[in-house]
Amino acid sequence: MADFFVIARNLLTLEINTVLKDGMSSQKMPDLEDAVIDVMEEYCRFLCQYLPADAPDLPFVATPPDALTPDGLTRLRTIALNLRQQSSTREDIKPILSRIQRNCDQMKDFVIAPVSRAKTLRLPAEQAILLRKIWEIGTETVVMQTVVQIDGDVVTRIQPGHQTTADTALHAAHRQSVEVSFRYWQFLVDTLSRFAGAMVRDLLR
Amino acid sequence: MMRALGRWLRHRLMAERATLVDAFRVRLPDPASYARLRQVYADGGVVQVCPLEPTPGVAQRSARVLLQLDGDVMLSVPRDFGAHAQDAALVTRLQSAVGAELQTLQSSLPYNYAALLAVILRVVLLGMGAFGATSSGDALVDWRQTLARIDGLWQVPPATIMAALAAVWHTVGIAWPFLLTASAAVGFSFGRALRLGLMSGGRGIIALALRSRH
Repeated sequence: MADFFVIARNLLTLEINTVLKDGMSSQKMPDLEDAVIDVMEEYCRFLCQYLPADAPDLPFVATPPDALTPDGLTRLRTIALNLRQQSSTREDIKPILSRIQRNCDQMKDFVIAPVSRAKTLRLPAEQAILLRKIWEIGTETVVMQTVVQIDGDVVTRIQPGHQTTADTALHAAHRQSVEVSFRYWQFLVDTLSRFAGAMVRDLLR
Repeated sequence: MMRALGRWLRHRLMAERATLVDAFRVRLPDPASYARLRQVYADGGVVQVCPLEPTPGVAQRSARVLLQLDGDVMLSVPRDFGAHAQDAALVTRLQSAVGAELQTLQSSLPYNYAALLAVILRVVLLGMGAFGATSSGDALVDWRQTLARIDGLWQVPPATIMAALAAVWHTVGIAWPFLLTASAAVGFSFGRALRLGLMSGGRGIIALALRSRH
């Protein structure tokens, strides 16, 4: 039941992201082990674009990975951190480097042994949800983000360059996503209150 | 006098039993919408994709909404979103589809708390099984076994609950003078004390029955 409570705790904060992504498909997230390796491959490809020309290839890029080790995660994290700290790194990719660094840290919780496509990875619900978020967002740029806290705080961040009237359609779409998230939250609260209400009513009648 | 009191007690007990049976009656949700709820949990959320009109230079365009189980939403749109006049309208329709999905989920839930508890239990167990497994190899067998186990569990309530209620009913039939005395001692009304006793006893028996089947 522990992961049920983690999911419940996550419900206290809603995060709505709008990302720009070309060439999307309706592909669902693959098996968990494939998703982990996909994420790592994507991180490698992204980091390689910004590594100095004389830097050695990352092992995952040089040869297609058949196994991902915890050491590989640590290496990716270190590269992302180093790139982020370099003054020559473009400002717009620093948040993505920060994300890679953070996600590698989080994935260390469940990549404790080598992961391969041939070996089934089993994860509890909260880690599967986390992996799904990581897989979905990849290295895409988040142009708009809204975080809604249970205490009523709402914070919306917009990437510079996307705050103009030229992006009105994008703003409207993001606002609708926030509404969808609220509706889901209301759905859950309504379900719980219906459950608790019926029980209390029945006990006290 | 004693006969009148006996009639009144019997009447009260019958009323209590009717209320209790109603409270525990498992009203199954609509099978189609329940299947959808199950699928949503197995998928890890609601995913809706809609193709957008092509723009000069980009033939394949689409928007995608992912609503995760913890309420987080991710909207993915192409980089030239807004370039076509229909983009905003199509995404609005996409979001409406997610809203309709939520409506379906909501309507699939029963209004009776015992049944709702059964659905929550089943969905949580299903989620654990689905997330713990994958869709390949022996894991698929595990996943199917999890489903079968939960589906088996779902079959339990009507018969077992009624049997459990009957057992509780008989137990209370013997124990009611003590319940009555105890309720008077703590200042509870007879009905409330009886209901509390029945419900806690009923819940315990149901829990035991479910555990033994599981």
